[in-house]
Amino acid sequence: MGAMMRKKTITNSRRQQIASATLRAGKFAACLIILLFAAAALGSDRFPRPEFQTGYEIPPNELGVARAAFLFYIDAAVLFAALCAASYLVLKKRSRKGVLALMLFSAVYFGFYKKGCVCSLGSIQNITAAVFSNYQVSITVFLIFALPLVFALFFGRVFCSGVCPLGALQDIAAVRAKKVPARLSAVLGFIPHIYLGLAILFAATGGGFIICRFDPFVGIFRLSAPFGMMLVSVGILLLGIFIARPYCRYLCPYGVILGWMSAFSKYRVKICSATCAGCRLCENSCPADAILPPTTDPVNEERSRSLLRLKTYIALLPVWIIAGAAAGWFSADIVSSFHPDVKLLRVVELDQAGAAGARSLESEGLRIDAEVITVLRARSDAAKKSFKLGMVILGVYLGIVAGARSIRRSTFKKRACYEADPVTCVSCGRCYGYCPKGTNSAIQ
Amino acid sequence: MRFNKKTLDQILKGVQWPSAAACLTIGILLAATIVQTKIHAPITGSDFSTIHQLIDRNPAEQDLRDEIRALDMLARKAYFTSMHQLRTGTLLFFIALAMFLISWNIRTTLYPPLPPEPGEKRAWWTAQTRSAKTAAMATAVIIAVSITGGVIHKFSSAPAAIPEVVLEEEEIIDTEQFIFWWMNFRGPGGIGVATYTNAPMLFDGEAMAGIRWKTKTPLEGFSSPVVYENRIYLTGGSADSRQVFSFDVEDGRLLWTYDVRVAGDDLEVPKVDRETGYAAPSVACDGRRVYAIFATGELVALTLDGEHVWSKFLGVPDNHYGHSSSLMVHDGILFVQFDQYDTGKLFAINGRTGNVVWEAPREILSWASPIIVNTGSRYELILLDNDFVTSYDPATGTKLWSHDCMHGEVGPSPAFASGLVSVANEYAIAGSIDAANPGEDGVPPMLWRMRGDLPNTASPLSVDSLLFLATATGTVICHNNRDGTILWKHDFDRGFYSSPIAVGNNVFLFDRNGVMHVFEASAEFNLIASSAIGEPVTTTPAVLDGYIIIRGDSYLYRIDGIDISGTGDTDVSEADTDNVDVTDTNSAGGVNNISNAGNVNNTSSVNNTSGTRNARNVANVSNVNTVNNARTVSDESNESGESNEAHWDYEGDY
Amino acid sequence: MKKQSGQSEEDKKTDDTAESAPVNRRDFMKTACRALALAVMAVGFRRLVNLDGGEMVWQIDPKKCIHCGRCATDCVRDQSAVRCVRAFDVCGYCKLCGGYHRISSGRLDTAAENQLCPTGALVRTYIEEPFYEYRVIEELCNGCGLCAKGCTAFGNGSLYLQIRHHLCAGCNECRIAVNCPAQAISQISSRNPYVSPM
Repeated sequence: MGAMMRKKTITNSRRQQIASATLRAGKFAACLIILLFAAAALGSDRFPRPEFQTGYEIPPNELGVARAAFLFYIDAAVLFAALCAASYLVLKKRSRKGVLALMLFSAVYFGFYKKGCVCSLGSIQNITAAVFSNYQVSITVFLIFALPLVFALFFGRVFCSGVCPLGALQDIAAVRAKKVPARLSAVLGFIPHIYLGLAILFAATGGGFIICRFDPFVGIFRLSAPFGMMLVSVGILLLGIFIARPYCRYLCPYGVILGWMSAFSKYRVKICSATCAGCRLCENSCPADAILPPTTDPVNEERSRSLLRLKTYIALLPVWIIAGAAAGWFSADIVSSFHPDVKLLRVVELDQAGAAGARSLESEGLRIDAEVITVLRARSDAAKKSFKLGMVILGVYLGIVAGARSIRRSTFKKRACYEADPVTCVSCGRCYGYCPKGTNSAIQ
Repeated sequence: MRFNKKTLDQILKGVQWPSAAACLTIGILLAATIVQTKIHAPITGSDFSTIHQLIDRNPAEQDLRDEIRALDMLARKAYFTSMHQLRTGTLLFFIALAMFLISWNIRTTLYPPLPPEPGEKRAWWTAQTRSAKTAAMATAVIIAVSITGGVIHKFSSAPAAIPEVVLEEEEIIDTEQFIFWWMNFRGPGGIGVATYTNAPMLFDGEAMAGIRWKTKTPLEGFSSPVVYENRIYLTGGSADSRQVFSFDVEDGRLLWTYDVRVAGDDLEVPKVDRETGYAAPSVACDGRRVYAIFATGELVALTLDGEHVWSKFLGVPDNHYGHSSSLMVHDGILFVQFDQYDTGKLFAINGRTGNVVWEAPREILSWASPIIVNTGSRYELILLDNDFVTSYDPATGTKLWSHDCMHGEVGPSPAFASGLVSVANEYAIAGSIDAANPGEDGVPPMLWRMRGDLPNTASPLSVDSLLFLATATGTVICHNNRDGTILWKHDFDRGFYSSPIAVGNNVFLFDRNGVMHVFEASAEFNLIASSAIGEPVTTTPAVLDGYIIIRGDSYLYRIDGIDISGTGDTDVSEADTDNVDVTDTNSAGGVNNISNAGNVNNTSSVNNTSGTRNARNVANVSNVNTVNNARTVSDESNESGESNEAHWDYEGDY
Repeated sequence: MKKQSGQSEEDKKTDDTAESAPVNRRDFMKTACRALALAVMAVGFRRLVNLDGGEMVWQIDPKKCIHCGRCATDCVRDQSAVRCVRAFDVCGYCKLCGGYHRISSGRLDTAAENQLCPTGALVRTYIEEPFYEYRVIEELCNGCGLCAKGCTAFGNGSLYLQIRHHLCAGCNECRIAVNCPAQAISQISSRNPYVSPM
């Protein structure tokens, strides 16, 4: 090692000699450009700082500072305040109008003012990256991740209703919501779990933040985005007129975690009381299909059949788990081919094979040589290996989720009246206003 | 209350639909603006680069300047206007969209919906169990799709990544055959020794006496001609284009031109020195294909008919004069000395497929070319760089030995004869290494080294036990190659960039004015002939069976020579070259300004004409690397070598 | 209000009297799970959060940057938050500026056709023979890096690209960083938000 280092310095001094030899001997034509190039080898100040005669003073280098730290703390404080307000408005005040006003505020503050980043959805990845690597997480980012979850533990998904700027945009847009068929909803509801799993997998392996990359609304908050991205944003927003909160229900990975927390929540949205007229207006108004009807209607099925179905689904659970693991194992290579290290190696190898004709910027930028390729190959292999393991774990998880979904839908749970499912309810408060008995009278 | 609600609804309706219309209009306008800027790209568009190139070529044209100034103004205006439009448009679009949605939203809350028909059956249990079934089925489908997808990916991806090139079997032309042609820079092995000894000595380029033909080279360049069978291969290059040419040996006709565009349009053309140019490296030919490399790092393999076989972009070399190491072929393998500041490499590439067989790292920059020689028991590929003389095993790329003896900016390539590898470079040393007798550690000893008059670009030439050096200032020095003793020195009028070539027992050497001097390769200086081609010469000639191919700055010549044995020397004496305007021929190449056009006068002086037209002497082939020759000479040199080794203590600084 | 909530509690109790034991067990389970989740978060806070690190911001390392031009096109802002900045104390104040002139043009004046910058954001002012001062008009710069490339290749490298924090949207994942061929963009502490080229 020492010998190598010495060789390097010798080479450098040689270069200087070469450069000075160029100056002295004027070998070949010593025109200006050549001087420049010869000096290029030296790398540092080729042209000395001039000494000015006219009293000109060299201006200072002014770059300014980044956003002040206290502003980040204010953001966290505003988040906390907004969560408190949302909890109060949803659970205590039961005011749809109040929630709407809070939504508008959040869309403006967390969306248009803060330009959407860092949001709680994306913070999943920051936390994951910090768990699996030496990625730095600041207090504010941690709070952005954890505060909505803590509130969900006690008050349900109040974050979704009044605080999340993405939810706010969609909720305002949801004016002609149509019911999504239960069967379609059951299938689509599976996507957030896959999305969450992949996001964690990519963040854990240093493969980038895919939730941020495919965030459909961040372009709206910034009022500028690549054309295609903007089209998708507006498209999803307009789709939200008819299918309420499409992103929240069928994509949002943070919603999955909020759902877990909310399942244990202490206080929940309550809809119904003894005075319920059974008008079904609240059920139809729910944008998240989270209002479960009373189970007072007769079940037109023999009990043995229901039991058999339940047993079948319970028996299928290990099958889903094993098949899910297998699916994860087999599809790991496809998924890992989107990992940047794997992609980069492929680009560089194509360059090396000369198949692409021109060398890519990546090869140029990383000054590719045999050593770099060896490192890249090792990194690519490591990523592929982690994906094999990660995809198997994801497969097992998805198997459990899928099995649980079928089992839950085959069990009979007694409900005397309308109930909001804490896992899926986004506490938007829409149902309060729809109750013909008035906002507060609904629970009296 | 009711009335108020109705009014509010009317007002909101009045907001909702116009804002929807506004939203739609702005959206369409925005999309149009975006598409327009995508297509025209006012600032980065191609219009600019074309007009920039135009103006660089015609710097004096004021019209063009005015035009580009107007265009520039327009483009910037268009760019900033479209940016402004985009920004305001997007803002207005979302304001309109927000107004549309919010007003609609409020309207929906004004009239609560009616409850559904009371008698409607719910059948919630059926719905729930059905969705359970659907969820299970969807899971099964997802699992099946991902498993099949994974399996298909596994079987399809591996071969698709790097396409395997399947080629028909091809008969490799025996390297032994190469000696009858001029397959690369400085002939067989790259050591400047001609196989044929019947090369012409007398000619006059101005009078076209002894010249079979001369053809203008389409693009400038300092690459030397390469000849195989009835074709000459040459390259030319500029910042805009790089080309490979082929000429007919018989009549000098341009047979084909190949436009090299390996690196694509966004190639950053490197700046090069005018005396190096973009096409300094000579091509190499293996009898099947011809290979060419340029200062841009573009490497291309073409058939002998000029069709693309494969190409590679090695990256723009970090080289302040411009890449100039020539190519070399041996046993179907192409060797590319790709030296640069930091990431230089020596590539061995399969000539048929273009696959890299091996690559070896290189320490530092150089402008020399590789030679490949048989040092007794094996072939060695010998390269110079600014610090080292390094020998590689051509089959594996293993470094066989190296000597840290070079210095400065190395342009001349090594010489070889009788087992001795000789090197020389201005500001460094001249010296010889006994490659045939490596020491116990495998490193052959350096027999001698010496400073003094040293060559700048012309490679040294080694003939038997003599070493000839030709300097840029016009001195030719003859050393005893065993101990470095200077046997003679002669000052010519003009310096040498072209490398000397040994033809039989004579040395042929073009000076920068294009005068070819022929002198005996002996321990005493004996000038035989001097003939002028009529324009500056920087390249090295190709010497073949009774003729020489030489590239001047603007023209390519075939020299057949004046037959003075039969018809007498009238042609020569009548050649009146007093009024040669060298600057005229100079303009195309635009290289060096010849101060004294009169130098080219008095073109052909004959000192000794006997034996210049030797019959084809293939027996002389043994000059090139035969085992016996090398062994006998190296034995001798060992005896005298030891005492001479420390003649001059070279320690870096000078 | 108080009355109301009390009543709802009562409602619940009367509803579930038949299954009061399992409900209590369920409540206990919920509380336990809540406690567990809170504990996990507390541990996570302790282990993951770097209290001294400050906020992280994206920045370009000028030593790695190869001025490929993607900064101008790949930023989420319509006009990139990457701008060329100038280290005056590194500049040689040359007349022939590799960052200002198209070298091939040959002329060293301020005519449009001799300038490298496509938006005219680099402005030169005469100081004294033979020195000229070069300034970047930040509003006009689009971060294409042509001048930085020229200055790095021919000069001292005093023109270089930086992410300007008052323009940066502060994305959680920088789109330019994802597409940077030299992997020159990384997150650094906001306390030292700029990287010097030297």
